[in-house]
Amino acid sequence: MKQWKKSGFLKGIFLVTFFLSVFVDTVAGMAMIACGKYASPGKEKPKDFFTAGEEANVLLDGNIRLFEEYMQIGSLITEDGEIDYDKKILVSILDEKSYTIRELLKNSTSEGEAAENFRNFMEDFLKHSEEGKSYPWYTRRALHTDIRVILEDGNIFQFQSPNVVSLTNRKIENMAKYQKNMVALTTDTQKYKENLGESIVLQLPALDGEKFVFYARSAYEGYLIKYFPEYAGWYFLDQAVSSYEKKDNAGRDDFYNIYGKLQDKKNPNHLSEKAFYEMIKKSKEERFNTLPEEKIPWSVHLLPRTMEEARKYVTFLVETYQELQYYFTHSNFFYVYENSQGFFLTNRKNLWQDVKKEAEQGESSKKAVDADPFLYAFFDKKHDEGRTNFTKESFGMSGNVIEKLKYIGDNYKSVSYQIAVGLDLRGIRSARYEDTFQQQYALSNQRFQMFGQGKSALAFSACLTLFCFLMLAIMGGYVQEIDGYGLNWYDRIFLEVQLVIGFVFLEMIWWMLKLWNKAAEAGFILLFGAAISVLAFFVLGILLSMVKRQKLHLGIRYSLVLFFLSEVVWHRMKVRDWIAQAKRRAAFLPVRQKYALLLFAEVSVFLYGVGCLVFVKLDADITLSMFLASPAGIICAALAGMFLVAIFLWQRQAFLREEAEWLMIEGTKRILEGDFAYQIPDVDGAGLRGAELVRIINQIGGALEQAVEESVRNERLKTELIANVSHDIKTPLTSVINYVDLMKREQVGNETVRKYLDVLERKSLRLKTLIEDLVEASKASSGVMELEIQRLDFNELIRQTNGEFDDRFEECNLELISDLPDEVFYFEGDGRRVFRILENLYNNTAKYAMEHTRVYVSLKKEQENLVFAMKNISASKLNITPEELTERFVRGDRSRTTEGSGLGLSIAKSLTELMGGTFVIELDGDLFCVKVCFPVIDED
Amino acid sequence: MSTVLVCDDDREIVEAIAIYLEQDGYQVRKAYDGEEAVRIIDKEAIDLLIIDVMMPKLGGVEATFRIRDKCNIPIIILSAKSEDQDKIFGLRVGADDYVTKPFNPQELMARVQSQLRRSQVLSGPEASAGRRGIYVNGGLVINDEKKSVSVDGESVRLTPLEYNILLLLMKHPGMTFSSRQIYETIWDEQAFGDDNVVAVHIRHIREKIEINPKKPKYLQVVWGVGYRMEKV
Repeated sequence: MKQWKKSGFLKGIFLVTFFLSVFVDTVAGMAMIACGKYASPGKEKPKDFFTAGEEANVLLDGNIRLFEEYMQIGSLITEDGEIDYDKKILVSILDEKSYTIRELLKNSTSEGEAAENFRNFMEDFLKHSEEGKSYPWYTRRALHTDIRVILEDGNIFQFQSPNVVSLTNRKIENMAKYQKNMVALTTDTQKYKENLGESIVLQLPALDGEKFVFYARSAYEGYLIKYFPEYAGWYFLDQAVSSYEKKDNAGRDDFYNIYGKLQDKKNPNHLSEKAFYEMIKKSKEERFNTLPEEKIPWSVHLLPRTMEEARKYVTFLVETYQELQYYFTHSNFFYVYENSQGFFLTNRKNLWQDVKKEAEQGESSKKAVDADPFLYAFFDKKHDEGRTNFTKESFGMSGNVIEKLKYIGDNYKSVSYQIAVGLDLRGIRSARYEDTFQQQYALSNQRFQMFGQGKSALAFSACLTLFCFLMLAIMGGYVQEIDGYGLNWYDRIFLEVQLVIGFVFLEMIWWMLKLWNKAAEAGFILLFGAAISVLAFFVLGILLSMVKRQKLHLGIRYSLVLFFLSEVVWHRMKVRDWIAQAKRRAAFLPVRQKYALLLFAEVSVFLYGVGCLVFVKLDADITLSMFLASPAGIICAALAGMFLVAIFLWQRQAFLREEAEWLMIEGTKRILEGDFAYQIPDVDGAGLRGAELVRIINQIGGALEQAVEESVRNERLKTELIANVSHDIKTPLTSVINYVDLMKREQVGNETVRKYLDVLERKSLRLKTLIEDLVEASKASSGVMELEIQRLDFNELIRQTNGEFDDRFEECNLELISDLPDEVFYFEGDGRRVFRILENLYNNTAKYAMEHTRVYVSLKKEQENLVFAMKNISASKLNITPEELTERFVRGDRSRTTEGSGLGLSIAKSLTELMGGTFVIELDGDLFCVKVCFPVIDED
Repeated sequence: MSTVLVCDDDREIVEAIAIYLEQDGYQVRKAYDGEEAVRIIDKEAIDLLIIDVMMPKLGGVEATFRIRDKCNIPIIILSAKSEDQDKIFGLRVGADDYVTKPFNPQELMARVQSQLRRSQVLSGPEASAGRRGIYVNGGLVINDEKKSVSVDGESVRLTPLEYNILLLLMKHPGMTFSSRQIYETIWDEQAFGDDNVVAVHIRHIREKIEINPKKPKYLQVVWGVGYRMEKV
């Protein structure tokens, strides 16, 4: 191993660098994400800051509306730009009374409250723009989708604010002051998913006794509606009128809605659409037509019906105007209005020439795109033409800006005029006004730069991270003490456990990401970066651990599941051995180990499953912790726990049962194999039926044992009996033989007597043989003999026997021909008894073979047996079967006159079988063939 | 003349044996149970005892036991039990021979004779055992210098081959030789598979030196293994 790989110092350097680069990775990554929208792909300059976010265009649009309102107030303004306090205002159509502004203001109860309210409104408006939140549009489409109508007495309007206009209690209290008819006021945040935020519910004066819902179209209108709810009603109806006058059905939507709300079709007196239209148009015309020449601001929309209302309106107007003036003089937004009467209204005097030049030339608008923004929109009433360099993105939702300018201008005075609005940010380097636009623009540039910086930083840092990781992986695992690769304590943790730990940390990272979405501040980003670095530590540890294991070629051993699988698959056969082992002793450890391993595998799999589920679920913004904390989660966890316990118990039961079955099988086998005294022990898990079976088997074993004992006893008794009986017979027989012999010695002269004595001698000797054979046969067949088993040489044995019978065969004129193999073969048996077998066979042959014939004796190895065969020609006819021959007391000739007890073959057969051999007689005509086989054993 | 005590609870058997013995010139005393036998031996001079095992009062084995305490006369046990265990037991207890009923009277007489000879000719075989060329095993004596063989004092005529085989076995008492080994040693040739030569010779030897060739005392057949000179 190279020396550098062992260096702990180097490793430390790499570790530190790794963490730092992860930190930079995170910060750069987040910067890129945050600023991504400010960078157009591939281009080297920031996106048009109108398109990057919605803030700018929303702001611009809002400003134009403010300008519109401002212009409407303009009818109250003198040429000096101040309010004309002597201007008369019609308060009521009914009595045609009009009052000057001054008079109206005199008794105003406002005391600057309107101004303050308006200022609050402006603050909010700007603040929301700064925070990058969308302009609070109020959409009319909600009219068609969702109608929330709460029915009590009077009309209740639900008023939706699509985004965050945080209604503090203070504001609500302020509103309440201005609201005469407000009954219910609630905030309802729950219902609307499409980014519609809070709403207020207002109860407003009835309009023809019917209820309907409306939405304002601008924050400002909404603001007005909050404070002047009557505004809403008239405005709405006016919209309905102009809607009806549109040609297409889509354009008539507003009308139909109002119509539907205000006319109940079930009512037989309901108006038709046309009639309804006539009615509301008439009311509008009445309002229009009865107005004097001098229009009261918003007289189209709003008509004060009482003095108090008029006062309120005027106060509002005056104070609002002053606020707006202040606002516009401190804004980069500019407006210019110049009419043929010489009235000149602007907040940027010096720009007018620029604008006119731009408008006339038109070309430079293209250049403006690449330079700092200078937007303008220009309209000339006299020539009825307009020009603008507003882009679609920049102007947003307000429709055609030229049309808007025309509308504003026409509404002001019916004169020839020129009007323009725009945005001038050319002074960015030496900032003109520090207003929201400026801030937005600067921010946009800054963020673009940040994006670029972030990109390069990330590129570099990511390479560094990777490099450090590789180095650490190469160096990882080196242990100084052993000068080689080794594992830490945490490397020994099973892979599954490590993955679970890793998963927990990943979840933490996920949590933090979620939080980050809500607060993108620089400070938070740095903190976040640090946190990620720390978390990376743990993930690094796990990855390095994996690498180390690979280096040490640990293979699947570090994965519990894989290890277990391979053990089961590879050692599948051994499972039975485990169980067979287990049954011998009381400690069933191998089975329980297997069982424990299986249980652990199940738990791991379960965790895997949960992990997968949660990863899938992560999309839906639910993490495991949240899930577990919720009632559903607790129930699931409890169910899972119960499920696990049930599996645990069931498995345990299954294992115990399997164990018990094996025990029973093995025990029964053992009993069958001869260990009758063995009692199968009691086992758990066998169940009631199993225990019963065990009891019965044990009893059977006992019964078997008894039966065997009895049988053995009986055999022994039988043998003893035969022995005793034969013993008792032998005693008198001895005397008979002795006295016959004595008599023969007496030299009796009588020939006949001598013959009789011969007979007696023969018969008594035969009796003797018979009894001896009887005892032997009985012992041999009952197996009560004690055998001395030795390794015997079959060839030797046959030769010995041949030797024994050599003379005898000669006497019988039988020629003995032996065919013995050259090779020496051994088998196990009691030498004396095997000789006895052969002796019986040879005797048999000597007695019954035809004289002057050949006797063939052979020894052959056939497969695993040694076969001794003896063949001879029978002297007399053999008219019996081989089976009968070997039965006791059966001899070849049934007459039983010749010598021999007839037990010879029976004894030979019994002895053979007693020593594990086979004894077969084959008869073919006069050919008598006997085969004795013993299993051959290898020479050791 | 030697005196033989015959003891059996069966009078007829005792009578029969007594007749045989008297015919062969022996003096005979009779007893019908173990106690009587012990008493007679105490009182009189007996040279050999033939005693049955199954008797009332005192059985043959216990009687032998007691008698052996006092004197060393040859004892032949007579029994209807023919099991090996019984034989071994009897011989271990102190009997010199064991004969099963029903017996061949000639055989019994031969054994009596043999036992008496042995017990009387005490000094002969044991004394010369140490000398070179002389091999002794019980009653069997081989004098290699003279090339003579005697059993219980009586000399036996063997063919040269038979002599060589017997000598080989006598030189290694207790050791079992297979026929092949015997053949190769004696004939000094490779043994052929089929020959029964050795077995035949062995049988001839047995017939010459054994009282009952079927139940040899000296030259044992270890069936399936070979032949052995049993140490007596």
